[in-house]
Amino acid sequence: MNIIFESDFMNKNLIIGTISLLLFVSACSYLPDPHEPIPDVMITETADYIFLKSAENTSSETLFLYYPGGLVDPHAYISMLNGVVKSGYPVLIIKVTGNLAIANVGKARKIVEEFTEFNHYVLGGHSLGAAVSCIAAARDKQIFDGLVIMAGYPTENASLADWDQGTLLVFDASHDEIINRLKLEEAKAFFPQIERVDLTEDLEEPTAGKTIWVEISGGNHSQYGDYGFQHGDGEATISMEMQHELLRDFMLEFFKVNGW
Amino acid sequence: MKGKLFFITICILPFLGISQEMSISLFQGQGFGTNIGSEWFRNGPGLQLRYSKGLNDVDFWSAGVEMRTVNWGNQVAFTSGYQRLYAAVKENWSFRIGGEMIHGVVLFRPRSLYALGLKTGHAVRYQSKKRSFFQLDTAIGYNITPGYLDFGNINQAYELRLEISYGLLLGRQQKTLDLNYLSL
Repeated sequence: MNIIFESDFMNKNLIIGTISLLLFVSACSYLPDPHEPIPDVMITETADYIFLKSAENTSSETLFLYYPGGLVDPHAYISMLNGVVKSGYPVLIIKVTGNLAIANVGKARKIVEEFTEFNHYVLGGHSLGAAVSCIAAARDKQIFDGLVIMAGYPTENASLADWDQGTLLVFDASHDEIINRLKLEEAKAFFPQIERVDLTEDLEEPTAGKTIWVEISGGNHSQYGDYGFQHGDGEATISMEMQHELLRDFMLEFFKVNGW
Repeated sequence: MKGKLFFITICILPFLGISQEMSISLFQGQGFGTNIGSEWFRNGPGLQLRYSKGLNDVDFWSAGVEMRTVNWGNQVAFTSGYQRLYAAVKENWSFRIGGEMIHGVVLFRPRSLYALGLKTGHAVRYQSKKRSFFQLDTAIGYNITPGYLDFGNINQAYELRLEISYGLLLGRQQKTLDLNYLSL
């Protein structure tokens, strides 16, 4: 009997150990294509971040900080964000331990303390990075002016529903099959007042205290970045370039209408 | 069956008389520089399993496997190293110096990238009478992933590494050490 018990116990531990090991070993990060210089964009890279700044248009007082998706190399977001940079908004992509943003929730605040020359700080992220940006914003509502969420949502513990001055933008790609739709639906209770807006509509007044919810028709989860097709995702019916262009145009409008 | 048992016994016999140990280590790398310049950052934590074998009473060779995060990703590597016992205090405490070479890959899709590392440092060990030990290592380490330069600007990291290990002694235990011989 003891032998059976011991054997079960060992088997259980062996299974847990093996699963843990497999999880780690399969923790491969998605890489983008090898980088090429981007005209008019200056890139400063440290061990903690990738800072992108326009070489010509440097007048913005707003810094956009961005958390990458889980197990996605941070460089995979440069192509999506460089359009925002070229329009004059400096962007800082946060590097996270093990390419898992959840390990560095407090890093955005530390970086804000380093970059004190800006008057406005807008946080954003993709997937796991979006969820982490919600946690970071919920912790430091007085630091961040707004939040741009791509394929993510807050949880009850990081509810943003009472963020009166918060200005939120949510992108939801119609062919995103990675995101948990049920949880996204439940999470709507944790956003400030939601206002659905069509991509073609113009925002006419500041959106403080609201969540602007935009659907990217034909877009998917993987195409928020530039790292290839993510296993389990839906097939997009628009190109990655088109998805990036739609994101860029609406983000710029959102920034401008809010005076950033 | 008897044949297999005989074969295994023959394989194990050479190791029975040699001091050997198995250990598990947890470590944290605190970065202090990259290929771009000096910078203070968390390079990442990790876990290492190590087999060590005595070449004599003071020199040890080791081999192991290491899983860790580095600044640019998650790394799996094989390690091989050398440690020299250079001072012992009473029967329980000893001091060692040594180094390790790390060969592995940083896990990426669509393909992983080759990674290389080095570390050298000191260790303090407390050895109990129950054939087990605890060891604290402090080391300086270096990591490089040459292929990552195609994707980012930082592909090398220098770190201070703090490591805590628990191990078991296998085979013959060392005799009482000659402290005069070990003192430098």
